Amino acid sequence: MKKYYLLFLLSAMIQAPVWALDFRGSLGVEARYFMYDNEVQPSLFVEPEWYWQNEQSNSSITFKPFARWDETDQERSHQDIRELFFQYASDQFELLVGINKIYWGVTESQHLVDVINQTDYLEGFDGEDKLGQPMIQFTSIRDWGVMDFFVLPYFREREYAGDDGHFNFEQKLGAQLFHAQVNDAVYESKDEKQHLDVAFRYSHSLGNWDFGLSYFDGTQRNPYLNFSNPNPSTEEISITPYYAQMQQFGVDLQATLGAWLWKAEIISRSVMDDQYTATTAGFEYTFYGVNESGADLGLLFELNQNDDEQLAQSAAQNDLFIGGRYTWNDEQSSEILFGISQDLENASSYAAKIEASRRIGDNYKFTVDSWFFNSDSITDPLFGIKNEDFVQLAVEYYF
Amino acid sequence: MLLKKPLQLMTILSLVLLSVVNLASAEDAKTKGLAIATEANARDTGWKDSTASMHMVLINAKGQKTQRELRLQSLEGVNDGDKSLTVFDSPKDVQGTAFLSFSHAVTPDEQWLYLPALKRVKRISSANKSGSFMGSEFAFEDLSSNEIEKYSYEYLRDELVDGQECYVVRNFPEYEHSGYKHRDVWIDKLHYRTLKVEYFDRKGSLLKTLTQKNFQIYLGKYWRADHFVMVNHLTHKSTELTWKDYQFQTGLTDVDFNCNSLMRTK
Repeated sequence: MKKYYLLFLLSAMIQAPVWALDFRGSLGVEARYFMYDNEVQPSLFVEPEWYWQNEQSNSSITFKPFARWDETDQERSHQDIRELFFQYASDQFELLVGINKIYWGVTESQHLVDVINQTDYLEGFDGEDKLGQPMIQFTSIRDWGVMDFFVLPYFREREYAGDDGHFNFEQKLGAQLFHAQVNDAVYESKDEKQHLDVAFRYSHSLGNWDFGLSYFDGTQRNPYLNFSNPNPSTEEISITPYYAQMQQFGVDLQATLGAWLWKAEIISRSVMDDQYTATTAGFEYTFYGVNESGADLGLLFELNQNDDEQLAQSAAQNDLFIGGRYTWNDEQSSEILFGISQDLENASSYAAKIEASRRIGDNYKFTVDSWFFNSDSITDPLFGIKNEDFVQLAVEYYF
Repeated sequence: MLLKKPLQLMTILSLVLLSVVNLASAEDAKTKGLAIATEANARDTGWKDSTASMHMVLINAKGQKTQRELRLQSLEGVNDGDKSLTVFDSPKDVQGTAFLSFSHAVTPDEQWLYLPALKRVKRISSANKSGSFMGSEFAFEDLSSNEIEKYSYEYLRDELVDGQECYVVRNFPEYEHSGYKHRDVWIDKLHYRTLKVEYFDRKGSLLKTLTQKNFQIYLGKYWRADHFVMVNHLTHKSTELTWKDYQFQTGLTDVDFNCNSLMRTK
């Protein structure tokens, strides 16, 4: 039944309603191959977008739903409203009401200051995909900078893959294979999902410098996961996500000096009677025109530091990220990105990725993403996914 | 011996004289070149702002074509370079990607790129002057606004282009990271429009030729070519640009050229 529903949804989406000033989007097929399990996980996805604007071009409505249908993991089949908002814009201010995605920050290996949206963990474990966040956003645009005020009235929980899928906390320890059961989340705030979060950001550009100062007070997007094994005779781990309240100050900074981009993100977070700071800082340097046809090679170098010893939820406590981006600058916009995050305190802990993409014809894009993990310490956040090395192929059609 | 000395003296004298004449004519060529560029710039002053659509055709050495659609809006700079906002409509995978540029005469341009899939604005380096714009034969510096201070000038000669009398002026880039030693510009004597440009690589050999055709006049004084052809003599690839829907003085101001307007662009 679900298949027919999806097909119906697809055809309804493609036939743009008459009021839409603009209709665009993409649909695609994807296959992930997991090397350790010798398993292929195919899926389909669609992301259309409707956009309407009034005649004075100061008011608009955007609607961008997303759906994925996964062949092997029912839990990974999911739908989300990425964007559904009304926006009014004048010369000096903007007002946005609805569901949207906000991106803050400058660094590539980790996004510390970017805390408005929940991660769509079903889409990708790397935190690059986000769930739509309900919000009221007021923006004031002045010569001396931009101020954004957010009221976030509803919280989105992180969703996890099912038993048949991957990145689902399944853990092989010795001969035993432990499945994970994710329980209902527990909240620090009695208001639970209805807790009213607030956020603020000031950003400005001065010559070669672009910077932002941000503050967030509300439900921490990444939960603490409490593991237990309630019935030791079963090979089942019970996981209870715990969503704490946090206050975070953030700074993001970029200096653009010729072919050098110097970047830094610093946060100070108070959560659960704890306070810690975390930093991502580094540079991107681009060699332009490295071959006769004008390809570019960019080198990325970033250091991740986190002084929270007890509660570090990120895999990047004291890590070095080294990456490279090769851009052909051809008609097909071919490019390849590779990167490795190496734990500086534990040589055996690293995560590496290769991403490549190329346009085919005018409307198709082919992408290959591969991830490789290594870890031999059970306390390392990477340990749980060390056997999830995969190669992902996708063909996307844009309309 | 006696005869020889005056002869030597004469030779030296005439040589000095010649080089002075040469110097003087070189100085004249510079003055005349600058005067022509200044006049061309003056004639294209006061348009305030403009919007237009661009259709781009990339043609490879085998003659295969790839199409691109873009929209541009520009704001004329007062005592500074122009501001521009470019939106990509096709290819569809980059639809909605938008590029904001504040060009400056000699200091580096300021540039931001909006990536709609990530909803992220990235400040990007403008050092890539000689890099290809969207895989085309146009480099970023070929599409940048023409400020007088960006070049030093040298008038070369007069020449006909399609029956129109032109000045040929050599421009030497004064800004950093240029991919060219110089470019030669054919400017018609009647309206001071650029009809042809030859680009010479850093070694001084001819790399590309741009021809601009089908000039239209807007607001009674501003000439814009509808059709650009850039031919790369090294790779035998070429790029054609066709401009449509030019509009001037539409009321755009600085607030239409910031990171917020960049993010709102569709």
